[in-house]
Amino acid sequence: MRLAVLLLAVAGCYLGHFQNVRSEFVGTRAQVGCLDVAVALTDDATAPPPIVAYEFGNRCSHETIVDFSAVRVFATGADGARIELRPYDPKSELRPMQLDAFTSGEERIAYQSPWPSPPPVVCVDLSGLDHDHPTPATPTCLGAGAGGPL
Amino acid sequence: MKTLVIIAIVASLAPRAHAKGCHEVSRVVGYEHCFRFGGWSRDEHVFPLRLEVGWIHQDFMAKPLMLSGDAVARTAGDADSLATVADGVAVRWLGGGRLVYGGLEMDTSGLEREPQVPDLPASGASWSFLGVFGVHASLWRFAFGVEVAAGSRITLFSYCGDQKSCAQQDTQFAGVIDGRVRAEVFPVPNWSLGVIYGHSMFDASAQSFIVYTGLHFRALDGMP
Repeated sequence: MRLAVLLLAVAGCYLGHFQNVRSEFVGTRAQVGCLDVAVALTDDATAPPPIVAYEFGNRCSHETIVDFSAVRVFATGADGARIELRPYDPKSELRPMQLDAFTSGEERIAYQSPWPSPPPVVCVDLSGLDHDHPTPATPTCLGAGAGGPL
Repeated sequence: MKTLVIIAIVASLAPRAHAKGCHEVSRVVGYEHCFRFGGWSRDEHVFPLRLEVGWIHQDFMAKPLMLSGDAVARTAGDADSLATVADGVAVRWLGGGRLVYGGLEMDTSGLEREPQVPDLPASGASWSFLGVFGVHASLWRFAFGVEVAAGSRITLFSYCGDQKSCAQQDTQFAGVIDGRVRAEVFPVPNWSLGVIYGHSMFDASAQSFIVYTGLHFRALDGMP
């Protein structure tokens, strides 16, 4: 068990420049406070879309607080309506959590869409992700026809 | 380079190690069975344990020798002839809170210099068993600390050469209380390289020096 914990700890090393020990972050990149973040739309055999994959690393020499409950996700429907999507979180797991210096993590979060088909464009506002160092809102848009950060 | 390769291999195996015995159906929050949200966080209760292994150099003065085959102690003519130098391996298991830490240290050394007995070849070994208590803090990728190491040292002085049966030896026990300063650098959050200098708090001639590498369960040991 201890070995497994140590292995996981080593796997969480953040090398900087959107790269951890295992691989380079995948997705549209953004910097929020101490966090380097990459976001991308992904799919899953069990969970319905839209699903946003987050990879993030703390490039600061001190811990910071990662707050996924402060991330706002919007979608634009076929009729042009823009609504905020709620994360699927039946166990109320999403809460601010500390990330050590020079470490990284990843999460995949499904968002509840009111439409039967996945929205073509999903925009993610990461400005509150670093709880200690909020930044001005610059939503990153994902999906076909999206142009990255707005 | 070799170390980095090992770390990369270990890292690539990590998810499998964690999921052993549990079949994960999804990595999406709310759908996970084995993993859970926030596994990357220090809020997950991982005790900041660390293992350090290194080379240790010790200088200390032996007591007058009482060889097994002698009726009286052999006392050297000058203090310097009792000077003893031991080089070997130090292994430390440490853990604790964000600011303070404690643990155990075991040193195993061969004697590089020991009191000489005329016409007899000298050899020997030394073992130390110490408790360690200290405070530390980090600055960027560096960490600094002060600590006290206390315990006992057993030193075997042997003047037997290649003889299978030998009576010309002396085993000495000594208390150790060292005040130490340490500095280390973290190339990656869970791996460090460091040095420790220690000096006895009651024996002016006794000092130690350790160069070590450490593996840390918690990034930078969760230091402030």
